[in-house]
Amino acid sequence: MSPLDIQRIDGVPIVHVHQDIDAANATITQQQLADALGPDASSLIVDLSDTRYLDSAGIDMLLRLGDRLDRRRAELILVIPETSQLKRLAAIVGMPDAIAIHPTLTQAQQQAAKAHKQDRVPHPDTDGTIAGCPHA
Amino acid sequence: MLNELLISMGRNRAATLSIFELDPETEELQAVIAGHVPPLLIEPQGNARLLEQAHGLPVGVRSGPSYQACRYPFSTGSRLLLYTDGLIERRDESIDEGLRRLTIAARAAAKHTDSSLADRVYRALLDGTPLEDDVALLAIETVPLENTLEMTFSAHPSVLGGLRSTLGRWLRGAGANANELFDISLSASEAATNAIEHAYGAREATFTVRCEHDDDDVTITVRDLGRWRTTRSRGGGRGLEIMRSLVDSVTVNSDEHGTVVTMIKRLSHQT
Repeated sequence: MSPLDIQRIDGVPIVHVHQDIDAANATITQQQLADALGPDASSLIVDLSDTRYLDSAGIDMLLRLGDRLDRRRAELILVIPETSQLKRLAAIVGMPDAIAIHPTLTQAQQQAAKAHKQDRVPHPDTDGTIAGCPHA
Repeated sequence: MLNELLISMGRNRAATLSIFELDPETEELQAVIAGHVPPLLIEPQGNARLLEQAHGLPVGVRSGPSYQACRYPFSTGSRLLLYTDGLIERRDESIDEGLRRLTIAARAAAKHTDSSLADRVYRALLDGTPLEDDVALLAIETVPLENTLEMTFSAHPSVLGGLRSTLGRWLRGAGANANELFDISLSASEAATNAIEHAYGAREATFTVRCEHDDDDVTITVRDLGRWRTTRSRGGGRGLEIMRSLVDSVTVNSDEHGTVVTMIKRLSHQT
């Protein structure tokens, strides 16, 4: 099984992570996750349901990824089930303050759909065109 | 990919292949076999059986074959015997007969511990027989972990997954529940990450992880012998914050010889 499975549902990229994220792979994983966003999506769902360990390097990576997506006007949404050890860990380091976390993929998709709709509302300053970020 | 490569190279490039993944922590073996002779699994009680369910076509035969991974329980004390067909094939008998001889020889060899399993099987099957083909034989065994475990690792991030996995197996033996197992493994992994950072630039640097437990407490000591470096990568403080939250006590001592991180956590003995 590939360590990352990428799918797109209703235009929203969803990455299922099937491996630990630690100092060994945080950098490459960040690049792979950022690439999964593509040019037009406004949300990226990272499903950590099958991830057993996430260390400080992995947490830093997700926070930086969130910032990076923010600059591209996209949102990072994590899926961490209630029963996952990562839920406790995320609370310890205050991750929920910085990144949207949902217990199920369905809930994450609902948030992504909402963001998508809001994105489609034309901004008054941009003459009806959808805002994009050329620096991404 | 290998399959497509072999096909693109032309005729007569087929090869047999087996791929195994053994997870000692979950005590599970995954096998994918492409035309290779079936491996032999010897259970701790000595029962030997051929793993024939995972069989697929050799690579390089035709485009796009599908291979299925089969899972087998592999509890501590289990053994796996891998070999090439030269071990069992004889001109005057069928391959099934050869496999039957192998199973009987392995079952008998598994009862003794005076020499390695591979040696004993090899001697039982081929001693004195002129070889008709080349022979390779490999035996894999999982052994129980010691009460006090000391491990040495290369100072490279790629060792972290193996460290957590071995430690997880040891912690289960020590009576840790799922939360405690996560907390201690992750804390040790954080300390190891620091040790790896300290050794940055030192060639062939290593660090050691010592795991001890009495009835109540688990103590993990991570010691790096590499050069102490004061420069820390960004976010280095978060590792310590995580460790302090997950275990009961963390002490860090460093001098010119290296750094010693000691972590202690009391086990609840409740699931």
